[in-house]
Amino acid sequence: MINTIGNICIFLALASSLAGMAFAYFGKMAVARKLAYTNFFAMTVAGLGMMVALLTNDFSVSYVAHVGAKETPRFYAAISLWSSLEGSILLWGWVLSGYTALCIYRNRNKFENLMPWVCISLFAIGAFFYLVLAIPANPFQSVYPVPDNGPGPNPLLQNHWLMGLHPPMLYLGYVGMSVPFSFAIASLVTGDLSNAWVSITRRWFLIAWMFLSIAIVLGGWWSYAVLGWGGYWAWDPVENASFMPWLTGTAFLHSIMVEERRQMLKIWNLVLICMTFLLTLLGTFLTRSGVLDSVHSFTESEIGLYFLFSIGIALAIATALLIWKGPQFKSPGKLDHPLSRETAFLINNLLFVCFCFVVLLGTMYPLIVEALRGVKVTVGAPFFNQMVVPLALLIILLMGVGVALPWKKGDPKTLLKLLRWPVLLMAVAVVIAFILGIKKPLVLITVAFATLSLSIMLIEMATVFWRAKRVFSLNPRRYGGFVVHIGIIFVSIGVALSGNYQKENQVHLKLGDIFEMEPYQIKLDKLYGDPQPQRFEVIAKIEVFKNGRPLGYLNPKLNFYPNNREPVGSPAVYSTVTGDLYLTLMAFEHNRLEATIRTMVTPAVSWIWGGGGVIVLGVLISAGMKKKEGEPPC
Amino acid sequence: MLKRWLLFILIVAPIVYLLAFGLTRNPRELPSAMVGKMAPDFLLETLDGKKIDLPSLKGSPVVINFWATWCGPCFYEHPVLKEVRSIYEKEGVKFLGVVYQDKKETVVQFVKELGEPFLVLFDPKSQMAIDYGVGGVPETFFIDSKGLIQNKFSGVLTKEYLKDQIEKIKQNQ
Amino acid sequence: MILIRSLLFFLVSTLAWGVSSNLSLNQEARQIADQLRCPVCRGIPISESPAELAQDMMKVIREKLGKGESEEQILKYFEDRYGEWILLSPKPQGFNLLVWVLPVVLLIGGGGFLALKISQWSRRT
Repeated sequence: MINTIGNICIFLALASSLAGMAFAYFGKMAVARKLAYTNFFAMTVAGLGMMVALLTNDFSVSYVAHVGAKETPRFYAAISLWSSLEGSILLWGWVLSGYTALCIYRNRNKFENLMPWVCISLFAIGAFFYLVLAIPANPFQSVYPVPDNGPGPNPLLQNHWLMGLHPPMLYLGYVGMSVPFSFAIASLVTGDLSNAWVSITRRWFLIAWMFLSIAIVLGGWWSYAVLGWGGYWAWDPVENASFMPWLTGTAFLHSIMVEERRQMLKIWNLVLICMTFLLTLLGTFLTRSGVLDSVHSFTESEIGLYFLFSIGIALAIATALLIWKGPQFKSPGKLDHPLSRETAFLINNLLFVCFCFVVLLGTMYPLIVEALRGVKVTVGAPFFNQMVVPLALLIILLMGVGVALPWKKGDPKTLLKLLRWPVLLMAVAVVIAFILGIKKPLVLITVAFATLSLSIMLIEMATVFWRAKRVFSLNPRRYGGFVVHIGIIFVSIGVALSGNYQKENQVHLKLGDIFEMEPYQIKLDKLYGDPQPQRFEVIAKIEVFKNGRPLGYLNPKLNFYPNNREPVGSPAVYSTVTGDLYLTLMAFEHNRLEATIRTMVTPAVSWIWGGGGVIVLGVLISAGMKKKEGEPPC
Repeated sequence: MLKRWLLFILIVAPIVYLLAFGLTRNPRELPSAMVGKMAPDFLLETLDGKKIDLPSLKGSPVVINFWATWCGPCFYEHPVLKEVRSIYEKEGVKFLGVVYQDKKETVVQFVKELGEPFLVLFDPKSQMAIDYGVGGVPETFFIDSKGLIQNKFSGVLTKEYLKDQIEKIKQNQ
Repeated sequence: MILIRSLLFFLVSTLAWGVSSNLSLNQEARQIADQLRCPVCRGIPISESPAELAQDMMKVIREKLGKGESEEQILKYFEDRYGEWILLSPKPQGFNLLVWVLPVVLLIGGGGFLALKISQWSRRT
């Protein structure tokens, strides 16, 4: 039953996309619009149908038979929609149909030249995903005979509530990039690149970028809370895949301001939009085809071929349009003075593009070497950290100095005057950090640049507030941007401190043993098994003290799943603003009297999650708040 | 015009080629660096506490299988190893099974129930496994009588493959 | 000026600290382990992996350090046994130089191009 409905919906979505392309091409936009809504309706029915099938354990549906299990708790059953390949593509198509309908609805009376081509591009991207859903990754295949039960979702993905949030955010970010991309394609085809277009695209882009930022931070958080190695970022190809479009996207969000102001860099901005979109496709390809070795790739190769075609076609079309149609937008570059915000934005672009290049090169390098030399190599954290840290430091510095520079022409004297206090604060911060025991030069530089940038922005905001009694409504784009920068600074500090000052121990404890690690003491209180419907948990009850004062209990677990030989750990974390105590149960004796515990004390990890929240806040201010007076943007 | 085509091809072709190439590869398949090198020495204990080292096996071809009781695939290849051992042990081929990350008691129990497809050796700190570049079980090394590693195989052995490899190391006298 | 001076200060201090590093055996082992890929879990160095094999590899590193072997020798040992892929960052020699040099080339080249363009564009007014 659900299979039939699901398949009808997928075919309806595919057919309406193809028909929509045709109608849009012949200028019948009213019909194309209706087809976009049909499309969204069909995918919603398919998506909800799958949810229902998962929640009711309808094992006649192939996807449910593949990832469902009667014992799986309801929440994890519902979110197992994205725990495997077919379901995640279904969600992908659903989100895309939503974006398509929303974009076409909101711009129904605007951009008469552009919209047909925007429609064609969005429908074409959609058609590809619906084709994949219809043939190689069809989640609605009938299973006969109907099994009594299924294996349940991948244990790693039914272990933490963050799994309910991270993938949808990622898809909202990834798929959201289709809209600006389609606008870029449309304007390249039609030659129409008006200013209104720029601000509409910027806003779509900003929202997608925000979702991508959330997804990246949540992905790190999930990795930290589930994988049990005490880190949050391993430069894994999948992580890199989400990070690369974020980097080019960040470059675009800055250089688009130069275009708005100075009518230049038009082609470059189109290049950045196309790169960002293509990188999201590349990310999908890498995660869904098993080309690169990764923690959470789904590894299916038939589908890889489909994605290869889609990337190839998108890449060829975008490149061809940029090469042949791009030059029509050539605009004379003009700067009033090299010392200006325009220059800061240009340097920003250089740094972010280099950053993205390092990540791309590092991610693809094993493949390049194997293709050319036939040798397997690995590119991991040491490479990325060495290459990326200097760039990141320069970016942190630029975040403050760049905003301090005025448009058009900066005056060195004013700038130096402006920098007086921030430089002083920077020096103070470095001295304090040094006294607190931070002696690694790179961390000190991070602290220095972060303080400098932070104080530049805070001083400006304080001054503005002093004069006007309000800040954000005065210029939401500028000060929203400041808030985003401040969020990034939090993340940077968190990364620098947690990456450099983690203290790790592995101890074998008998019941009642106390282990001491500054400033915490832990005592193994109890070791017991707890059978759950979907898994068997072995729990170490550990009492935690801080400088002798009891704080309560942490319960790191090892979970045994019927569909997985190796147990999956659930680390337990005691989190404070200054740092986390992170406990993992590594092993236990069967007499339940002894256990091996891995302890980690990591400073400032929570700053990263907090910084993520601040970034979101900043984007919301920047994109959502109305400016009260008619001042020029930024 | 030509310049534009050139640019187009220079951008599109390498990327598509690289990704297409990627599809033909299996990233999890890691080649062994040990093939063609002399087998590293080891000194391990058998089930009954006797010590065995490589020099004592000099002159005979050796098959070394890394395994564990918790390893499902190992279980499936043991009958194959048993059968092939019964053919070739008479001809002087030595069969060693190095226990990888396992408890002695479980191994003793396992062997009591299911028999020994090889001479079981204990490698308590994975020292030999690391010396041989083992990344997981089952892995099987084929060493000729001169002590040279002729081949390494990861995964479940088939009878044909095993026989074929043993014939090869026998020839290299 | 203050900015430049403080930057210089940092550069000098970076060098100073870099030279005077004196690590304990455990720290040294960790530093080596950070550069080795755990063969059973993907992409994580053995220093961070909870896998048993990685832990045993840590023991091997400590043992070898105790015997007085150098970092280079130990890395070489693992590379000989497992292959080039065990190293988490490609050795900067031969073809691999590309991966280290290309980003720098891009940064410097891009910086030069940008400087050129900026000076061109600002002369246009």
